[in-house]
Amino acid sequence: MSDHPGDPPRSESPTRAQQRVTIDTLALHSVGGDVRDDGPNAVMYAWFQLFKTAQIHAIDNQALSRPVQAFADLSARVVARDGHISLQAKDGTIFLNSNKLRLTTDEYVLAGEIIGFFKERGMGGFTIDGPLDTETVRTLLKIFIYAPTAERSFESVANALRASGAPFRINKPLGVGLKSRSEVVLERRGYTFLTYSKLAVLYRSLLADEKSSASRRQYLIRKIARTMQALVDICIEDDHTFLDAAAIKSGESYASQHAANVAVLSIALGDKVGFNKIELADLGMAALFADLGLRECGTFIQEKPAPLDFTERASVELHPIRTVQLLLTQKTFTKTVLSQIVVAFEHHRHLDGTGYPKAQGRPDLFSRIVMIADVYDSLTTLRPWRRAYLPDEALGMMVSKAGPWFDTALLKIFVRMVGLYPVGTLVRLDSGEIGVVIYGGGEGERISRPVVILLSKDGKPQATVDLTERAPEGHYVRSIVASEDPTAFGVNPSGLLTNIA
Amino acid sequence: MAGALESVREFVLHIEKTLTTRRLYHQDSVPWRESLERLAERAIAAAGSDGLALRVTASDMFLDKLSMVHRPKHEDCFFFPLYRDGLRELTLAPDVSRADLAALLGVFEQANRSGAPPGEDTVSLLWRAGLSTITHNAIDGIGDMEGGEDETSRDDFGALAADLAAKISNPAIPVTGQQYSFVLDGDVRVNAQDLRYDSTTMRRAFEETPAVLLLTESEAAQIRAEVDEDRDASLLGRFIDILIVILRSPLEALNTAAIAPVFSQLAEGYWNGGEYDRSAALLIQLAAASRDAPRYENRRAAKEVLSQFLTNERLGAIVEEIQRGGTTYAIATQLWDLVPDDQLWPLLLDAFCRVSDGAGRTALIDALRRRVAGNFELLSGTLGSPDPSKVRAALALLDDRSEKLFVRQLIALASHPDEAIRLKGLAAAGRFGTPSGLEALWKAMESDPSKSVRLYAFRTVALSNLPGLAARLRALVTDAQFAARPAWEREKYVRLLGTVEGAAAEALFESWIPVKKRWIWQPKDLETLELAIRGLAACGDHGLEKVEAIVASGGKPGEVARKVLDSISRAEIGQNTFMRSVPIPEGPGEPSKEEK
Repeated sequence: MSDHPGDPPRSESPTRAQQRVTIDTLALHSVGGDVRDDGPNAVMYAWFQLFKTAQIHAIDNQALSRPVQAFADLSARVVARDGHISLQAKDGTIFLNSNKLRLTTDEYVLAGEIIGFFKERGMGGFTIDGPLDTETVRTLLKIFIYAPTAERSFESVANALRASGAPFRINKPLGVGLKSRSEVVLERRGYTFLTYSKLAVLYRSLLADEKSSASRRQYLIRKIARTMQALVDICIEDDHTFLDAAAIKSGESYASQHAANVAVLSIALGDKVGFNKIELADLGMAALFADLGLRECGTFIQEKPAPLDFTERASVELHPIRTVQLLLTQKTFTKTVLSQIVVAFEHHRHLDGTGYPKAQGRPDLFSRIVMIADVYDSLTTLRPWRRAYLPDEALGMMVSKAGPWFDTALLKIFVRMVGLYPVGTLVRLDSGEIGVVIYGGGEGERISRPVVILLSKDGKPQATVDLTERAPEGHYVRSIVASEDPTAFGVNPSGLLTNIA
Repeated sequence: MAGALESVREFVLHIEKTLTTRRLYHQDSVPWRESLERLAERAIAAAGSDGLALRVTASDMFLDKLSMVHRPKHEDCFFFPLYRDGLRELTLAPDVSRADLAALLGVFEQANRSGAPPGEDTVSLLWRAGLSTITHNAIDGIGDMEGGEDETSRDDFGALAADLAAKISNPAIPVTGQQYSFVLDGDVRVNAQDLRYDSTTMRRAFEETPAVLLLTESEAAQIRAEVDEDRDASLLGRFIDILIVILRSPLEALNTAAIAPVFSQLAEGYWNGGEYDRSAALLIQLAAASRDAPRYENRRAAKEVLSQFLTNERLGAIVEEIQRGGTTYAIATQLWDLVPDDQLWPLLLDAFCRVSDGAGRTALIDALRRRVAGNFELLSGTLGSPDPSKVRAALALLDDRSEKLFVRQLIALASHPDEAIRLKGLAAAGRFGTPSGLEALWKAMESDPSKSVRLYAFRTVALSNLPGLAARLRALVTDAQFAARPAWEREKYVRLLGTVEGAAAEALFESWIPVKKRWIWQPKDLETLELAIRGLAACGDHGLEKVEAIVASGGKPGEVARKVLDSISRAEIGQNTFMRSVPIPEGPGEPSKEEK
């Protein structure tokens, strides 16, 4: 079981060139201007320009040609890129493909117009499932703008759209219960995974910007704090969806992915333990920064595909103290910072006095929580010197150390929370089928009998089955026989988790 | 509608007014409470039955598209700091609570006064306020362009995050990644044959006994206790332990420069908060590190913190804290023990001189004695001080045993400028009876400017075995200046001489008796006559017979001799006459106040 190093290079350059936001760019997005790029806010601008122009001019007016063409072109590009376009209003802001748009002051006014437009028709937004041509766009305008006022109700518009055959459908407002559950789940998942991604990206930037100014570091830490608060809100609202984020094992460097996962798992466990939201945010921050000092060990040690020698091991075991030293550069020591320092120092200290660094006393509750989250995520993640243990394997290994290493009570809560087959586990069923656990943990038999999405031979998701389901005779319809290594099946559960409803 | 608008405007403006009131008045004052009451009334009126959503911009709060308050100058705009950090909307529920309004005001105040704590922004304050009837919408600045005042805001984290989210949705096909034959995995040995942990064991255990994953009562109680505990105290305790571990670490790579100021802040924080025990505990650990830390830099850093923190002012103030019950003697002792003698000794002495009674004085005398026990030189130096109060304090620390260590210094006090101290010194000289002590006594008897000191010295000398006392006395009484001494003093010296020399002194005294006619006796002659007769009477039985003979001879000498004999017979004739009216102190006693 390894609670040791293993973090990849921190200075890894972003996978995509960073977009520089300038005043010039802002001008491009001004109200009424041309849509010149496909950035996250472009669809909103294009839609606004389209319906505003249509409200002023008749359908055959030349002034309408340009926005119609622009909207058609944009829809074609974005659908080709993302598969679909979903523009949704919720709580006074706009989501594009489940991503919350970040609005400037001017854009806020524009978004308000769009929201008003939607409200007038009893809709929450729309989804475009395919590319639109200009004729289709004009058809949309006839339905939305030029139809009599009496025909602007949600049902009338939806019927008209269906009749037109356009790959365009409207959605009910979020949160009013008329939206399908799957749509809500997908949106929540989208927001959760995006927030998780923000956290990983910000943490990666913090690690990469080792020599940056104090103000830059403070800026990043402030952003991380806000993101952590968002994650806590998600956890409080829906811990199952939240926990899915911790099953992510792809797409990011180990250091930031591991840190984000440990934060997510710690928050979830802290929530079960009974901390309030402020304490959960502190716990999340402490978990995130716990291994900050590991970067001082160097990539060679962290990525060494062999056991560490004495000197290397000593260097690694110094990382809690190095982390503390980094955290001590804060200007003031708030409760949040103290929690970070304590957890950084203690999260490799075992209850029986082993571990490192050597010190007296039982580790703090925060530290014991982060220790469990840290080891679990570390074990289930691929490292250069070993494979990724399967989630249930990792749990089994940890349970074997309950008491001497881990707090038994916390570990019990943790195992119940994630289930014996945590989300993301690839399992073989007694029916001979293979599937990925997408929902598990909690209470009762759900702990050992999760919900599984079955996979076809080529790894495509099929039906979803609930393993608590029983046949009329009383026996379970399906049971897990064993967990399987996803690498052997070429399956990456992370992708599945983001796309299931 | 107009009425609703007005009530909202009134509410928003009243936030501003309430903030002003809170700046001007104490939180227990009536205006403070009333302003909040009025704000709550206006908030409920503004929220109506549907609630109220206020859009926040840099200079305005909007209800729909109507500005409720317009503050173009940022410094006048109470919501600007929150807007700057991302706040865009505040929503009040119809049943907006007073507590939430107060918390909201607190956030506005903190945002405008001191801003957010490091590592957070003002919107975080709002989040942390945990409002339930007031919700907020805010942008977090990730990926948007509103912050564009410095270079940091140009990073498009939003795009990076979206990119990562896309990668998560469409991940690469996994690989095993294992690059070498597995032997040992860091800390845990795993079966090297199949590298697989038999996880079915756990499942079987759970299915056979589902309660295995339930917490026992004690486990649940312990978790609850830890969740409910005072985390501040716990965190601070752990934080200090961590800092000490770092300070005592032998590793050169650790930079302790950042730690030393933290220790100072902690100690000062505890001190200012009146938690002297915690402050002392921290400083004790620091002191230990200053002695034992393997690295010189760390030892020096610890010493510097100690020396900078334990100022004379603080060390002295602790006495007052003991007096008023703010701390205990044990804590004070712990603190005092951290300070070198040369710094602490004068402080304690000063304090001891100031504090006349009570727990503080007891504590001080104990502390001073503890110090003396470890370093006698302290007392030695203090006994030589010209400051009477310090000398008195030093004398108070002495007992029968310890004073023998300071004989020379104590005898030297006989020449101290302060009369009371001289008396103490003479008392010690009398007790010790050393030659130097007796010399000091004689010197004081002979020439001390103070009557009481001379008297005390005389009494002590009279009981002593001062070598050559008779000769010294004879020289004294025959000195030309002897007549200038007060009568009582001359009488005592004369009687002492008679007692010491006996018959040998008779001739001297007889030579002093004037031969005069009755009508020419002057007071001075009578004075000399009486002095001579008293001396003669002190010379033993033979001298007394001579006095009786003078009585029998009549005249003025007979008259005076009768008076002398009467005074002697009223006392105990036959004893040493000088003892009649002179109580001699027994043992090492000191002169009483009356004697002084």
